[in-house]
Amino acid sequence: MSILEVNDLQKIYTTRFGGQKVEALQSVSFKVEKGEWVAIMGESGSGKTTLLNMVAALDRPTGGTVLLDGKNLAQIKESSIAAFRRDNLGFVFQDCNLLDTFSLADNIYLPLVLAAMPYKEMAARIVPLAERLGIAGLLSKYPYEVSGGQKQRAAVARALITRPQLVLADEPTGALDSRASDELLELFQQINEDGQTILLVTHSVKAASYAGRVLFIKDGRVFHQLYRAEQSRQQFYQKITEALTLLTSDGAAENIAGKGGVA
Amino acid sequence: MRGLGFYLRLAGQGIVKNARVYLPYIITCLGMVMMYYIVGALESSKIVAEMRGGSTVQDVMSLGEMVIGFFSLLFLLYTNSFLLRRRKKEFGLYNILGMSKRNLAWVLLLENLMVAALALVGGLGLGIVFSKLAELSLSRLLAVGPDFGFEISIVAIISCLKLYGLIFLLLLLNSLRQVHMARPVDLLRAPNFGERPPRANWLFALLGLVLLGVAYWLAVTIEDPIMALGLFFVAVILVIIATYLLFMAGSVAFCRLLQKNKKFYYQTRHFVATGNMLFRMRRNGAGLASICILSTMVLVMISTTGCLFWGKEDALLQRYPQEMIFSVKNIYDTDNPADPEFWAARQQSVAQYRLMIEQAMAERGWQAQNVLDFVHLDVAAFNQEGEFRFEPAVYDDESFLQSFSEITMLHFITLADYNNSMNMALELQPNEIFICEDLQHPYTLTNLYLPQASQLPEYQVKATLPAFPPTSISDSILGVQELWLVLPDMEALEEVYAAQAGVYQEGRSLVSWYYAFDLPEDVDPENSMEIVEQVWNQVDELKFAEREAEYPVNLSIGYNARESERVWFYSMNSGLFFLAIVLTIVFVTGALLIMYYKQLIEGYEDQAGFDILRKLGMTTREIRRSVNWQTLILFFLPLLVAGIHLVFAFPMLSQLIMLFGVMNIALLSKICVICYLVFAIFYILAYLVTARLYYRIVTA
Repeated sequence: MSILEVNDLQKIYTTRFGGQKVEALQSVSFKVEKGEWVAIMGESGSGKTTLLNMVAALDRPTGGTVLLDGKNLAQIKESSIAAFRRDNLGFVFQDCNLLDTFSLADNIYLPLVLAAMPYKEMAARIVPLAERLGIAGLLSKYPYEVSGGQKQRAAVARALITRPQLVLADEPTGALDSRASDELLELFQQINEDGQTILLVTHSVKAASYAGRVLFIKDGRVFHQLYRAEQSRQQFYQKITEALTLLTSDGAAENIAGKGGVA
Repeated sequence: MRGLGFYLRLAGQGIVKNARVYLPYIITCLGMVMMYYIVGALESSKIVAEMRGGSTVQDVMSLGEMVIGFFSLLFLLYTNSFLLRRRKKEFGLYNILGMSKRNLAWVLLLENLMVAALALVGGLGLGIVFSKLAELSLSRLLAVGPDFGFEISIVAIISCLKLYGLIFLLLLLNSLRQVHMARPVDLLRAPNFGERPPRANWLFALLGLVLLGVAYWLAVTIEDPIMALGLFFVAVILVIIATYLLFMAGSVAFCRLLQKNKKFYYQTRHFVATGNMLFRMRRNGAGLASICILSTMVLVMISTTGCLFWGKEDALLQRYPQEMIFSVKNIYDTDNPADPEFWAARQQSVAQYRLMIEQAMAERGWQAQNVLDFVHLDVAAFNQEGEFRFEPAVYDDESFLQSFSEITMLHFITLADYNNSMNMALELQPNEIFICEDLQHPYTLTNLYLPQASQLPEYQVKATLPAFPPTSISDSILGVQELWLVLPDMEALEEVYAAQAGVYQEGRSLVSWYYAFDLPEDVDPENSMEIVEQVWNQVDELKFAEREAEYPVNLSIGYNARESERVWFYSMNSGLFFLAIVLTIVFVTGALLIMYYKQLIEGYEDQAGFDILRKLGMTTREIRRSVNWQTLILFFLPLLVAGIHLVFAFPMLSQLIMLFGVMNIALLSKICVICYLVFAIFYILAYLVTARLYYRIVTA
């Protein structure tokens, strides 16, 4: 059964003055199965972030539906949407978004505290998680005291501690150097192998090549998709690069769309 | 270079676009100018000068003018720095887009000129309108009839233009300096990046607690006004230091303690708020402490002067229990000169003086009422467990203040005078005395022995009589215990006189005469001045017995009419109260505006944090609650602490107002409570506005 189902999603922004309409998403449909790792690629302005915001229920679509674990996000009441988000979704952002005013441990606890979990349970959860992410020794440090890669691991820990249905990652390697990026991607792979469903939005071909499937978005539509299947990461990397080249060269796009088809 | 119009437009837009920060600033500038004008106008107003007691008020106003001027400078510099901080980014952008610093300086100059023009024109305009209102309320406070003339004070306008012209010039120079020093990259950079978490300084926190404890203990254990006066400033300084320590170190330590309590800390309601407070207290500790101290000062100032204002009649009656008071301080002093004939002549002079007074009354057909007419000798003695010692006090000794509470003023009078004044017919044997009841300091004496005056007998106390005099007499120093003793006759009084003169030498007390009475009820108290004037003129003309002229010991004559003192009492107390109101308005506006700006700046700084929280699943309601809670604490902590300070200062204040002759503690407590409540209302209004603004910024 699909954990995430996006059907004919549409988003139109209206500028505040003049009423000019901007179509950010035309019609996007795709599914994510449980345990899958899906990467979404596209150029700036292709609608990636808008799509992510819809899936995260941070924004409401103009048309179409988003079903998370069979539940239509549009039907969740405004008042309980925040609770729904923190119970079912984990976020990893480009700039970590750790709160400077809290230690790493407190940053990781944050979603659980918001969910009013007793301290004992929280403390029991953090230990194995921190071990797994290699930040067990850093928990009492503050964000300003640790490196970018370590911060991002803490952010991953924060996303995972609620045991979410789906982890949403928005350019998680964007602010990291190449070594820290590699380490983080290995980490994602590891948690994906442990069964965690991941939806990753990225510019980086390398990041996408770790995923099991890559969706390409252009002008508010899903244009193409690639499965990694049995290919090596290197081969998959090659494939993605080719697809991107085609995607960005005019005219060729029609070509791919015809061949590949959209799920 | 582009035309002036361009810069004008840019400057105008700069103000309009930043209305959120500029509007309160302009209003403050305007308000300061207005207040300064009003005080200056009252000070130079002819109408006020002609009011009864108006000149006293004008003296008080000139003091207020200085305070407001000084405060304006500090306060406007402070708020201006907030403005600049907000706009640095904008200037950085202009700079990068190709405007030179020279061009930016033009924009700043024009902006400052606009604000200055607005503040001066608007402030003076409002000042001129409201100065009439201020003058009318002043005339009401002084209890004189309103004057409906209208005047515009050129003097005040000029001094306003001078002072605020200078302040605005300083502000401009400061902004130019800031822009000149800044590099565009810095201008654009995010304001806070990876802030170090504050460490709890337990030592300072503890020290703050201890100092506050000491100050409070000092304040509540003080027993008399003189000690209160001496220790008041010690206590004030302790409280100020303690407040700063507690707000800066204590608050951080407290937040750390809360964090250590895991059960408390890891709750949705407390978690974010405690963490944020930790950082906000570090950024704001000093500012909050200043606001707390400012609030305390305002509260102390307004409640004590309010008490003096409403208690002015009490104070007047306390100081002048009777409508007419006459006295001669030196009717008997054998040592200087030790000539019996001189003293005989002196008796005659006193008799003549009395005659003049009686004649002045008789000419008008007035009968003196409630007459008090007695000779008295007031000797200071140390009261050591019921034993009175004559000891020359060492006035420059530090222990003088401490020993002040041990001093008892012994007032010796004769039985004849007592019987006369109280309409009694009591009798005393030699070596017997009466003591008079004192409700504040009950004495249980059976005998009186003065060890330093061994030539005196040991007096047996025959009985305790009702308090004498029925109304206290004016010379008594407040805070010193008093004991009235009735001796059998004049001879016994002279013996006591000789004994104390032997001990005190140069500092000996003299035998005085006190003569006080009220006018008949149907006589207008205003007329009491006539008597004083008539007696005053006659005393001048009169040559007292020729014999006296040979000696340099002048007759020390006192004469007072309560009515003539009333004007001074009323104008002084009302003037102080009026000034306190004006200063309160200025200070409170200042304090609240600082709070507003602080919240504004913090709102922008906390925006990112709350955005993260929202993404992580914190509901709007939770954010609102957390925001409200933090704002509430930041806002009301200074008010709360100011309230506690006020409560502990109360015993001290009630002693201090006694120095002004107001003993009404119920009045003081009522006024304190009312002032605090009114203050709190303004505070709450400012809080509501600010909390909304903060919430809107962080959720934007």
